[in-house]
Amino acid sequence: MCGYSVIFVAKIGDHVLARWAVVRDIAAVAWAVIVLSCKPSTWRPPVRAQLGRQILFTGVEAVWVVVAIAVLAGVSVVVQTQLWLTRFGQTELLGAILVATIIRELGPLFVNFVVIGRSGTAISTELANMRVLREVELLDAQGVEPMIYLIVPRVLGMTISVLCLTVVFIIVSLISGYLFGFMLNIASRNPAAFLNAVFQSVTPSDIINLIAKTLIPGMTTGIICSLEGISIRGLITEVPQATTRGVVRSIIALLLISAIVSVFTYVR
Amino acid sequence: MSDKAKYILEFKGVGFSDEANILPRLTGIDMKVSASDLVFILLERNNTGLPLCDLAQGLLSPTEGIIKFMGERWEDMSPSSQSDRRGRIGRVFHGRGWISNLSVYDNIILGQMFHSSSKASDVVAQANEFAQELELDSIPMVRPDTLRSDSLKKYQWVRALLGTPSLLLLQYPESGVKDSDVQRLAKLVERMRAKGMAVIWTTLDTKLFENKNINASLRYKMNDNEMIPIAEDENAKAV
Repeated sequence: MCGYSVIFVAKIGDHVLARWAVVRDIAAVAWAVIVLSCKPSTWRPPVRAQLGRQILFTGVEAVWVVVAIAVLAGVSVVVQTQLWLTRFGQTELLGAILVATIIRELGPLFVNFVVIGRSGTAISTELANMRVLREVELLDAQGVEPMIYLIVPRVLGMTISVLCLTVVFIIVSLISGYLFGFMLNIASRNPAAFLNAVFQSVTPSDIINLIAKTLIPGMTTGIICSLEGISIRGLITEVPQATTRGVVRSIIALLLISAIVSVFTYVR
Repeated sequence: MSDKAKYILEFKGVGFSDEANILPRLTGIDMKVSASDLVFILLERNNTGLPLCDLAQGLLSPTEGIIKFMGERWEDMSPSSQSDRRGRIGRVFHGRGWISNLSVYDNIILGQMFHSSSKASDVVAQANEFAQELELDSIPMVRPDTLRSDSLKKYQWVRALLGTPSLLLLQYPESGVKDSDVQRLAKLVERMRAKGMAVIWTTLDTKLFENKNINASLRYKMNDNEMIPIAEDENAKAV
């Protein structure tokens, strides 16, 4: 009995140490990315081009997906809000509730999910394939540092794109929420009053929360997916495994970061 | 100052073996390559995956001996200094040698744009000059997979020669291309040697190795993981 419990505790210990090693690696790469991106020598023309490509793919090309989700989210939130606010006779709270749900939680969460699904998978797969085809060694042989050329622009591209897409998401969902509420006759007829209610509900904590919930998970997703892709040993069968691991770990990190940021921002 | 080192590349008693036993072993390699030298190495057909070029570039560390590039051991350089030094080495790879997600154009200018402050237009102009000399079309914007293997090989030559590197590593550059193209490459190499570029040319082709028109400074033959220098008289015979 005692032997089994020792094995059980040892297994838990191994698991915790393995997870800790992953967190440590992510933190080390995050620090390296921050330090390298502050050095002007990092921003050579090919690295700038890579950053541009990453923002184009992760940010610009995802705008329509995000707009579609934002419209649907805005409408759904309004319908639910309308049901409850009408029941309590508090329809003037629509703006404030939209802010609480969309700016604080739904916007960053949905956008991060879209980015993990579209770009996180692409990054893991692309880098893992580069390992299989020995293209990372090819860069090294030309003196092109893989950390600077492959990782830094991808991570920063993800980070910037998540922030910008979340702003798009919030604007579109608020507009669609207002228009739908207007059509259902529950929102104020005056858009200025609605906007006023929204802006008055936004506090400095909301801004900090928004920035933290976009920049930190965006960067973490970029790092996790890059690491998963680039650290395979070079077998083609490892490529889908790396992609899956990248997605699962990014989602876990996103939910964890989101919860921690909410607790630190709003729990007094 | 290491840039004024006597030798561009030095191998002193270099041996190599990897734990996984994937790469062939190398033992007792001594070689000194000065500016403008051409070292011609004939490989054995059954032993082609020798990591000579990877060792010369500091991508692998020798298990014995010392390798110096421009007077400095690779192990003594910082990672960024290693990258800068590798930027001064042109290389024709025996494998694919291309980043599949970039166009041939981007692949060719990547190294130069990363390491030098040259404008893209100047780099492309030089690349197009080389391409013209090798009877190639101007640098294409298409992905490498869409080109024929002989054209890709010649575009690799163009990339390796760009920016007049201090050292040029040619891993069987003649494979899969016509003899007339190899002669054009040999002429280009000769011209670049006059500007101080050192060259290590590994080949599997005995006829090419014995070609009188290729004016090698040193010739070696690989024999069971050892590099045997060809003696003066034998060298003369070979040339």
